[in-house]
Amino acid sequence: MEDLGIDFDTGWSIIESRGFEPLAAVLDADGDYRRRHGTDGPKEWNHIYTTVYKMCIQKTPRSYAKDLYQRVQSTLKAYLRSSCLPAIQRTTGEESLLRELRRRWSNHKLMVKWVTRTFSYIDRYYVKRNEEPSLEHAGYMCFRKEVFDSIVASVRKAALNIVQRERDGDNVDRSLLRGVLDIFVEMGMGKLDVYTSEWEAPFLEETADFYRRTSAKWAEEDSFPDFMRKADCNIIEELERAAQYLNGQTQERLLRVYEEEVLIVHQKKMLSKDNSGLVALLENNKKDDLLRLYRLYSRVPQGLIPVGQILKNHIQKEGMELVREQRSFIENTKSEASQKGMRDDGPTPVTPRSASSSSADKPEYIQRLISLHDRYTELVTNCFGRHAVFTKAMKEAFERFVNEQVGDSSTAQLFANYCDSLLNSGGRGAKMAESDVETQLEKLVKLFTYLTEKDVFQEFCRKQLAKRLLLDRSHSDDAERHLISKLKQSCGAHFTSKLEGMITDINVSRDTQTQFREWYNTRHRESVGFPGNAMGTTSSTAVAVGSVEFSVRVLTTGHWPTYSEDSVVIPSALELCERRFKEFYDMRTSQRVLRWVHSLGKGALETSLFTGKRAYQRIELHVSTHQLCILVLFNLHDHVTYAQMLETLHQKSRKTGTPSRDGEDLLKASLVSLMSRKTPLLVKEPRNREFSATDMFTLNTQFVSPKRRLNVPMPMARINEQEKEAAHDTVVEDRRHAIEAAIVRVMKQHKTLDHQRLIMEVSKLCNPVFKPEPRAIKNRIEELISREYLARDDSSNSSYRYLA
Amino acid sequence: MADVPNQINNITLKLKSKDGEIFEVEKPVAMQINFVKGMLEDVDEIDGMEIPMGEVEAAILAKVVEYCKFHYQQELNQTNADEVDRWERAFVQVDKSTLFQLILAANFLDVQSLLDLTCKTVADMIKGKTPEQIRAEFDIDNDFTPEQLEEVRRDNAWCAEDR
Repeated sequence: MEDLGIDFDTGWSIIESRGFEPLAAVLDADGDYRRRHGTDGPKEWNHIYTTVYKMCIQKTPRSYAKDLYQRVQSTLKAYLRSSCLPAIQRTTGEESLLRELRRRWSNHKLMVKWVTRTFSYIDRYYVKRNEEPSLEHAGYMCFRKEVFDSIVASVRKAALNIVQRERDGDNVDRSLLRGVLDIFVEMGMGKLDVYTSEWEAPFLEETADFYRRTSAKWAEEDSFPDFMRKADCNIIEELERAAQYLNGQTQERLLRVYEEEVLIVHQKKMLSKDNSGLVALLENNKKDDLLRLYRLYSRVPQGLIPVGQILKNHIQKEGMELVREQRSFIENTKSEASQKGMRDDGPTPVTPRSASSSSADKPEYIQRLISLHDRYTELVTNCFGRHAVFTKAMKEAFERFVNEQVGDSSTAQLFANYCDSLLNSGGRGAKMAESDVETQLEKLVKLFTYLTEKDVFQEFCRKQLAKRLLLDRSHSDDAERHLISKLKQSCGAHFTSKLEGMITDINVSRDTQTQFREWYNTRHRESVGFPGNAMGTTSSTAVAVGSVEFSVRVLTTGHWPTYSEDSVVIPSALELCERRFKEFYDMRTSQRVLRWVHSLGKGALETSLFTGKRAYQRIELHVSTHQLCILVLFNLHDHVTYAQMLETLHQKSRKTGTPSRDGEDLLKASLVSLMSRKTPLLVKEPRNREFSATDMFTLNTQFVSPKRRLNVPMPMARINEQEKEAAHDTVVEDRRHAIEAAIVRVMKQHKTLDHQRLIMEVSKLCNPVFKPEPRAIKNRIEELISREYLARDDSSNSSYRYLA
Repeated sequence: MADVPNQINNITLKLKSKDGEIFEVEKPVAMQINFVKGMLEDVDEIDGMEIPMGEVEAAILAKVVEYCKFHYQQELNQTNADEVDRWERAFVQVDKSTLFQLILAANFLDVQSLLDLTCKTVADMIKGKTPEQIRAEFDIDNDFTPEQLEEVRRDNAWCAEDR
């Protein structure tokens, strides 16, 4: 007789009565389930486990794995339905509802654990073979279907209310919330869909509502700084909340909602709030608030853009205010000066410079620009994290007003003047520490990047550097190099190549001078040791040629500004010097041509005149070469007329037969400084302001020099009006070339291009240095067409073709 | 809850066979038997507690305990694979009836590695043998009728081809 084993009902009644029921009872009573059988635990376990095992391995028809699998679930469901759900529903009050749910869920999990242990044989064979959900999964689903789904709405409502109470300032049981929200997560069986749809979405909606109401109130009642403080504070609270009981994925979403409702919605209104908006914060330099502003709004995508816009407008406003003040200052000075000029009967000012240029030359304006820039650089760095939005805002604002013309000089020119004042030994820079000069230069170069007319700056800078170098007015070689390297960094090597070339020329000249002296001393030894060594020791490397100590600087044409070719006839002693140097120079090079630029020369004369009754017998006069030529005339004559001077000193231009205008201007300027109030070496008859051919000049023997060494103002020490014009002409000319080069480059690349595109591309190429006007580009295009670099396209009138 | 705190890891359990023989085993050794592990999750642990081991007879339970002890030691000592292999081969050098009872016990007690080892041993015995040899090996009567035999051969012709 075959043993058929246990039949289902017998088996199940054992499992139910000795397994399920005692467990349910002990869990319901919150007892310790491990002690439910007393010391009979192992025996009971063995009994039930063995029963389940037998029921599963019996041969059909008594193989009950499937039946057990189903019965376990229906038993769980029946229990949940009959005792668990009602117990939860019976509770009153939000907290007790949640507490009961949490308790019931944790009991259910214990029960499911017991099931998976006891029925492990089903999981191992039946579930695996039939691809059914595991007992654990199935057990959880029972809870979801029987309990969770039917009470989720009231659970959510209760939890939301508790959250709301917490937002209102109550102390709530956060661990309870955490426990309940964990159930939402666990109900997803490894996915977050239940949590997301059943909790997170409604929670976020509620949050949005809450902050919509709250922040509207803040926005209405609070100042911007207070608003931000509250917003900041609440972010921290919400983050803490999220960390305490929300699932990890919610934090980001919660912040998005918060940012939208609190930060974005009110941003425009708050930024422009009267007396406390961004402008007020900027005006009062409220660093903490600005820092908070940045911190808050950098969370929001695009949140900084309106801030940047306001910052830009504000800087622009401040900048334009500076421009306006400077303009009215210039206006005032100008009118004062013209009134004064009318009253004044004294001699004409030397080399008349207009009042406007003298006041605009004052570095205050540039300094104020620099300090404005400093202030906002500091702000953007310290408060706004140097964010691109703000550096851009600053750039745009500065570009706008830095390029405003104040007075007669362009800003580019003022910049160059400021540089000069820092580097010139007669300027402010000479009195400053080297490092301060360098910092100032660096700041200036930063500002300089906003200039559109960089080429104008370059041209003036070049001229001024030339003067500093040629007149030994530069107080620091290092500072000069520093400026050049900074400019190079910001504009590229092409921008500074000429400046560097000039400095190189000067250094090379020093060597050349030394070599010249050696060469000369060996060749003309016989003439060395001229008694008296009349000219003293102006320079250690000077070469004594005849009675003259002589030194030369050789400059490369192209690096230096173009100096007008003068036609001054120099005294023979000097001419000899020049001849000697030419001999020397030609010997060393064959390709180079020397051209003398006397207008840049200077010299010292020794004379026994003008000494009065002082102890010393002779004084030294430091004059320009041209003035020197004039004074030397009086070695031969007591009286010289204007016409004679012109005749002697200036070769007649071959065409007109009269001395060139430039020559005459130079002569007049030189004479004026020789008759100035401080250095009246000459007197003129008649004593008026005009120069006419018959005017008679004599030495002013009454004059007594206050010093042993008398410096006569040299007419070329500063950039005069004429040179300014020349500089502008150079710039215009250079631009013409630059535009043409750009056109050719663009056309070479594109072969054919329509007019608009061409203008655009060319502007883009030129922009780093200057902004070309479309009309100027058009003119250049015409020019290039006439020179057959380009042709109008046959098919379309608005296009051009490149002719290779 | 599955993880029992460490301080009571060194308690001793008395595993009791169906025929009443007691095997004293340290808890970590016994924990390799899922039957015991599941039980320990379900009851309070008491040092020296007696655990009935279902239908498993003393002779077989002794083998199971031997196997568990070796494996516990092997894990602790990181015994090399060759040595384990040698030990296991010696372990299954038993008569067929013991081997089959070991399989049943491993399945009931849920000791997966022992189940794998014993099943593999049986599989190795079958490998490379003709049906007649297998019948002889396991002492199985050929209860097929000649007609049934023919049918089985026809249905499984593919597997006889290379013979």
